Amino acid sequence: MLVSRILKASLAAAAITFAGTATPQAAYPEKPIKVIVPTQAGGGMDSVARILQRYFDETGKLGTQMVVVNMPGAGGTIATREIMDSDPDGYTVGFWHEGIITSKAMGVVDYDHTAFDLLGVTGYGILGLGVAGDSPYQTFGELIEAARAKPNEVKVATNVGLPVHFVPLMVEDAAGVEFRYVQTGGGAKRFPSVVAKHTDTAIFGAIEFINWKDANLKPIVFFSEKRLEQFPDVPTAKEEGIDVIANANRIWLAPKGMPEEARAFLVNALREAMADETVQQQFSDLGVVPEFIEPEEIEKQLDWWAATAEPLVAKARQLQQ
Amino acid sequence: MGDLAGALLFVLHPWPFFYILLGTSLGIFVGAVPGLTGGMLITLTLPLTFYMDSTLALILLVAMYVGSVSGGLISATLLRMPGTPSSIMTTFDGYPMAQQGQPERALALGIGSSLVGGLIAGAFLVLLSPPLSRWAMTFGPFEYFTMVLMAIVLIASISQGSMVKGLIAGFLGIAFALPGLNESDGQLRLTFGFHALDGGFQLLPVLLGVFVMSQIIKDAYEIGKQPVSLELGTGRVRVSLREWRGHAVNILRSSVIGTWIGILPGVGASISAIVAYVTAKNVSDTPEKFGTGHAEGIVASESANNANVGGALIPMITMGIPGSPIDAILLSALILHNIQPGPLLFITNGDFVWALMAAYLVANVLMFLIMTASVRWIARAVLIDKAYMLPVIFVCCMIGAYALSNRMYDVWVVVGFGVIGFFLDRARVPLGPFVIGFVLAGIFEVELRSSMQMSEAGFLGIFDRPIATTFLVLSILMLFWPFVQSWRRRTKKESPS
Repeated sequence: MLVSRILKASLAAAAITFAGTATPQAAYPEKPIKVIVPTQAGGGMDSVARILQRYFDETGKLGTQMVVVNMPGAGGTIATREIMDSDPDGYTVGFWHEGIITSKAMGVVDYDHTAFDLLGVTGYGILGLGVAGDSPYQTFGELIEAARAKPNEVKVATNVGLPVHFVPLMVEDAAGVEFRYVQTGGGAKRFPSVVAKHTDTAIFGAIEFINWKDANLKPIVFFSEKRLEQFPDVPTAKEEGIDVIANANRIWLAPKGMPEEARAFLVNALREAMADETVQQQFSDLGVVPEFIEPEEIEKQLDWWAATAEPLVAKARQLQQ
Repeated sequence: MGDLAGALLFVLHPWPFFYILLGTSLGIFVGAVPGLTGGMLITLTLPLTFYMDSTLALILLVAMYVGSVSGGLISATLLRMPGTPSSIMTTFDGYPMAQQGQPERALALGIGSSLVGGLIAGAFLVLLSPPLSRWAMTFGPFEYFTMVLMAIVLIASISQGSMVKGLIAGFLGIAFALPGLNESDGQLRLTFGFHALDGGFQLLPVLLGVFVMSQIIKDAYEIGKQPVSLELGTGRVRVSLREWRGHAVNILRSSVIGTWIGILPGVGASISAIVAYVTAKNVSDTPEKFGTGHAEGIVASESANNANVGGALIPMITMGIPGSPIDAILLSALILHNIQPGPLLFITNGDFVWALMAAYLVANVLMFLIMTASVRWIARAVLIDKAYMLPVIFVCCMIGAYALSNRMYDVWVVVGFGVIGFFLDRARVPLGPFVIGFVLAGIFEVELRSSMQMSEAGFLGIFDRPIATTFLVLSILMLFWPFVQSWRRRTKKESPS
């Protein structure tokens, strides 16, 4: 404690010396900002943090350092709980995806996005359904037809209780068919399961389709607004008459009740970062659409998610065998 | 073969080569010092590799694995203390031979056998892994869960000497794998309302506790004891080619036994050495010489325990199932480096797999050169006072646990499992099955439940899948085999009378 107080005091002194004309009360941010990432280091989610960290380091736009802290475990809830329980002083934030909704729906935690101050979205991944290259179902239409003809027989590899589970449930609901779900795990596990045809289909991210194109994985539909330029022949769900648009958003969360000054500062910093060309390129390389989505807009999307997921929960929990 | 040649060229580049050299040397050192083990070194190093290139990281860890299994023979020969559990059998003949004034010969036999055993297993590794992984691609949940079932039965039936204790250890490991968010149904289980437990016990802190912390407690407890070492003479540490020729059959047999036992999931190097030693003794014309400083004994033990390393890498690379407790650590290293183990590894990370196998081969050769050149220094190093090392190891252990997910919780997990491991060890309950049970429980449950979710016929669906059915039948046979055997022995005894 003493050490950190001395450190803080000397930092403040240094700041005043260098700034010359310092305002009487210290402006936010006056110390490094901790960003909690709910996955381990490496991998797609973590890269989002690392790219922004590098950007803020190089441009100095944050006026302080951004410290990335990885806290994997329990489907991201270890980290989201840590964010929620932190002091709302603007020095601890983090981000996660729509799992913030589904974890509550599954009863793992008792809070969702409404327990946080939302700071916006720094890019989103596009999700799609994939099949093996030599699967009997070569199009989304064929897959739905098969599921309609033989209810409960088309097997979907899934990671129970997460968005990759809920999106097929939404499709089922919209198309009036019934899939059979098989718990398989993360993308790297769903991939062999689908390619070796132990299961018929599964949700993958656009980047996974790009990476595994030569390994016999083929997209049949995307849940995006418009078609992807990498896969011009693959339709969107909307075109196929299924009104499901579900992206994997990188949603920034802060503990509720942070000072408005800090909130506005962070939203603005993230918005500016996403307008940077280098950042945009690095996000695109990761298969993430480099758009900034305003806090009000993502709140609406998440409300829709929560409302859509709610009636599907009973079905999602049926997987317990 | 082109893949292997390319990978060999890659690992001979300065950085990969440096990491193999470093890993092998450190491995030999901890292997040689009683009270420090390979499992300890590899678990402690793992968190340090988080920000390293994944290929270099795994190369380093595999080299440590090779070195640590080999280094144990030095203390087994000179101190009559196995530096690592896998060299227990070497004490039986290595120490007497050294006592009889031939310590150089005993060491040379051990080092040479280690090399040959390692390389023979390496040949199996390189030749068997690609076809085996192609075959394993057809494996679905039914096959995986029956295979894990087979592994669990195997652990139980192979540790016959203390079958009950082995089973206790295995079940304790399984029990500790249960709490946390359940992967199969997305629900929390056995967390008793503690949110810290939502993620369950992570593998790395458990390994740090069982392998490192428990050993620190044990070493601290016994810190006063200084081992007495036999002196090395001035003779050269080598054995004539003629003598090697006499051991050819033994080396080959022991290496194949070591490789095979290595492939069997969950069984470690010490069992390989025991089986090879007992087999060598049984087929020998002079079984009475075993245990009195007999060269055959050293050769059998040391070639088998090194061969076990290569063999155990086979199921880890091809199926993502640990062939030994140390492979469980390597497996968690793969996952922490975002490499999904399994049959597709050859396709998704082909260069990586070949580099790993090449590193294994090179590490064996380096091990031989380092040990031969510096055995005299290592012999002195094994007497190092551990009071200087334990605090450093303790701190590294704590930092490693915290670095995983930046939570104090994991540090407490390490301490807790350290205490559990210490008491289990004192009760002579083996820690290997504990770790294997912990790792396999998760795989077993997920695969079993996926099979059930997949099949319309429920469990009966297994009979649609011939490979899974075969594994199931084999498991049942292995479970009852010990009983059948003892029943036959009994009836044999009774029949003459």
